[in-house]
Amino acid sequence: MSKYFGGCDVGSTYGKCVILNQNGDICGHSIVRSKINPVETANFALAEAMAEIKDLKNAEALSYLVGTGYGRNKVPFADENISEISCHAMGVHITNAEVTGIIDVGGQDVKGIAIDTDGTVKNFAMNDKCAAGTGKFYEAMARAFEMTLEDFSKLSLTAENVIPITAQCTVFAESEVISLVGDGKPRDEIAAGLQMSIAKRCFVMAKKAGTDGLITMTGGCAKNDGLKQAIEHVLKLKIAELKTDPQLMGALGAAEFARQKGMVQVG
Amino acid sequence: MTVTSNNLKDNAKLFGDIFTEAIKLELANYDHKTILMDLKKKFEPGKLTPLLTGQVSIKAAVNQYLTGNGLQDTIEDKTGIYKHREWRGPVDTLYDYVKWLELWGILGKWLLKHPVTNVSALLRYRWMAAYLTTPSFFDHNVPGFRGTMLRAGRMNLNTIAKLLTANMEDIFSADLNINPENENAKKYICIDAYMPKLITAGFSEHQGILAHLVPHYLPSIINHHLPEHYLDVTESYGVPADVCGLPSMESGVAIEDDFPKIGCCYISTNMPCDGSIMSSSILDRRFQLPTYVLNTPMRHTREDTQEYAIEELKECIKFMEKHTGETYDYNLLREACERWNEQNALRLEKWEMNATDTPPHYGASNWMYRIFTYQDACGSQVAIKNDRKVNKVMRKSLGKLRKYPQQTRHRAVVWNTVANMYSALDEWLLNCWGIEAVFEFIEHQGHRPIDTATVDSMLAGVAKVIQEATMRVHSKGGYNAYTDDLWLLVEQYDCDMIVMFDQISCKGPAAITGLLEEEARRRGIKMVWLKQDLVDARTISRRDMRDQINKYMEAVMNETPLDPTLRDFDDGESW
Ligand SMILES: Nc1ncnc2c1ncn2[C@@H]1O[C@H](COP(=O)(O)OP(=O)(O)OP(=O)(O)O)[C@@H](O)[C@H]1O
Ligand code: SF4
Ligand SMILES: [Mg+2]
Repeated sequence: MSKYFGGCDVGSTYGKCVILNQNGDICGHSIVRSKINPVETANFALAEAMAEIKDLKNAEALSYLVGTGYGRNKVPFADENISEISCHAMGVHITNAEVTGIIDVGGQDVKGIAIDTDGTVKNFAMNDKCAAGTGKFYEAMARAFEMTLEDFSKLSLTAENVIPITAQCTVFAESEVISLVGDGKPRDEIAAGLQMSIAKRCFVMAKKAGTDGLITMTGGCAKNDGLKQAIEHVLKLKIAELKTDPQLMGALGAAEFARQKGMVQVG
Repeated sequence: MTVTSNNLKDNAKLFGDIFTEAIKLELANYDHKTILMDLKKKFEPGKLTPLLTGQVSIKAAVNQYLTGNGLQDTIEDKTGIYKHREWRGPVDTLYDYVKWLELWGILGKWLLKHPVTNVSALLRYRWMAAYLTTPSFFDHNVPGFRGTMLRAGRMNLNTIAKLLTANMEDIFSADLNINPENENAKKYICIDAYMPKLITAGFSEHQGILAHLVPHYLPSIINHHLPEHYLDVTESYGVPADVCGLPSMESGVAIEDDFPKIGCCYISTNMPCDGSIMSSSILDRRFQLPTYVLNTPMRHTREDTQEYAIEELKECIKFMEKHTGETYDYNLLREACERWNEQNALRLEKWEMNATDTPPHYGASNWMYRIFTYQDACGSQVAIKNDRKVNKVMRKSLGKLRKYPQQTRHRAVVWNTVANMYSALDEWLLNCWGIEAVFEFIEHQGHRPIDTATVDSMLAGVAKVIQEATMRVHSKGGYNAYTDDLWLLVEQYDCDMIVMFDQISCKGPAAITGLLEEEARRRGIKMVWLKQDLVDARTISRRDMRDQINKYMEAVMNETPLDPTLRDFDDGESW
């Protein structure tokens, strides 16, 4: 019978789960919107991922499970908790070992992570306590533009000019944007301004952490094409593509830690 | 009639008057219910026993010893009240207990000496209540301590209590808010924050008093929620919320009229930074005293600013002479400077000892003592006597196996403005992660001997001591005061880590963070940034602060805590 190892990343905005087999292949995964109660989020994400695997009946049947993310202390069935910083680093490392720097833009925080050659964390920097330049901010902006998040992420790609947004704070930026829209300024240029201001924040985090070499993006906002383009512009280099969904990196790293620890335990 | 009159009838009548007045004030100014509720929450009757008796619960102690439970197990979650006193082995537990009794003795003596005044002050000033919990606060600053650490720590803390109570005695005996008709008030020269009062030593009939220390600086360390009220007051007054909490809190105290009314004149300064200049103008309006603004050069490391600094001092002395009506006596200043020199020499010896492989004493009981003795008790005989004793104990322990800490992993310099709201951070770093904070930035303020040969050389020395005050030696005072010294200390103390406070409202250091990062990386020093908001635990709580360290220690250092009970806990209402 196959053995399975789980990683559950309970983020502030999304719960993610990845299940690996002994060989490290992804057998199941899920991305679910976080609920108020992190325990429920974890249970839900786990159930969704397990549904993809026929011979895995319940959570107890997992050989080892590592919880991570903002609500990691609340993951039921977790054998261990590991910080999301280490998990993102590990997830990226097993996906592309050449990457040495990560910009993780999640729902509520932006992190810069420098990875060592073995996938351990060399240093990191993060902005907590402030939602400016994070997924939540994008969600608010998409609402202000009356667009879906996916469409809004691509809006800046067509812009020919960039209208600078001066406000750093989500609340103020939102009113600045609304007044620019009211003034009849081109929407794609306003969006480009927003993307640029957020990219600069990401740049600061990456610099603070001391990342150099090949850099990639993780977290849900790595799927935001406008942001990616702006970051490439600010960093003056190309962001490395990952073959697995970048939003899953934390959960994947956690699952890999679970696999490593579980294999030792199983013997 | 004075408050401290020996006539019982006088006192009784006065007490009655003051009491009624204070109650009125109290009800008008304060949300009295909140204060009571806070006190009740903290001191639920059932929990009072170990607090009041200081007893060692034998059963709990034996249990702690046998099961090897962690330090946090001895403490109630949230309130931080001790379930039982900590078991440190027979000798150290006894020592700790005796020192704890001694502390009560100091406080009791002070309380009973002028009961009327003290009760009046308690009712008049919101911040006074914080001092009532001093014994518990001190307990929280020596957790796990044994041997030399415990002895040096307790000695320093009790000396702070001695100096502080004497200080309060002076203040309240002269405070026009407590006793509107008293002659003492004019005997004092009020001095602005963060400037040592050495400069007033040339008067025999008048004494310097630090306006900020007793009313808000120390209380903000003892009760980390106290500043919130004053911060809100300042904000409601119209000052923007992103001003540094330190001057903001100070302004709140002034706006609420919670500064003692005292002094014949006021020496204000531009220290430590522009934030404090804002508060100075608010204070000035409230104090309504003749004011001299002693401007000290920001770029104090440059020799060409020194002439100006000395001229400023001379003008300041002239001003004080005018308002005290007393001639400044340089012989008195010389004596004070000589005492300062002795104190300083003992301090430097302590630095040397802490740079060895077995640093004998550091942490909150060291840096709080340092702030107090640098600003207020500079040249105080009581402090010097304590320094001699502490250094003796430290000297004895050098090169020997330490009783505490037994297990350590890193040596760190803690740099940048210290978080008042988390005094016992160094102790947590040590007990949880084995990080020895062998050098706190506050140590680094004025530490040069004063040349007492001539009046000018003496004034040059005093000017330097003043310029090298807290914060001027790092966050404000030119980038080289910040960076160069830091790296020198890292080398001298053989540190592998820097815990770098990132005081979110202090704009000064923001520009050079990149410089610091790069240099740390170049030297292979692990630098952990620790976001904090100085006096406002609502922005970043202690738990949030610990979380940042935890993340770093786990993700970057790949370590697990030495004492897992300390990794994450709730101390929201604790000291
Ligand atoms: N397809 C997409 N296109 C653009 N943005 C997306 C997409 N999918 C998710 N996002 C963004 O990703 C964010 C969530 O990212 P992620 O799941 O990494 O956050 P999290 O881990 O919950 O948060 P944190 O790490 O801050 O606790 C959402 O707020 C959303 O803005
Ligand atoms: S912490 Fe910074 S802003 Fe605040 S008083 Fe000190 S130097 Fe000024
Ligand atoms: Mg995340």
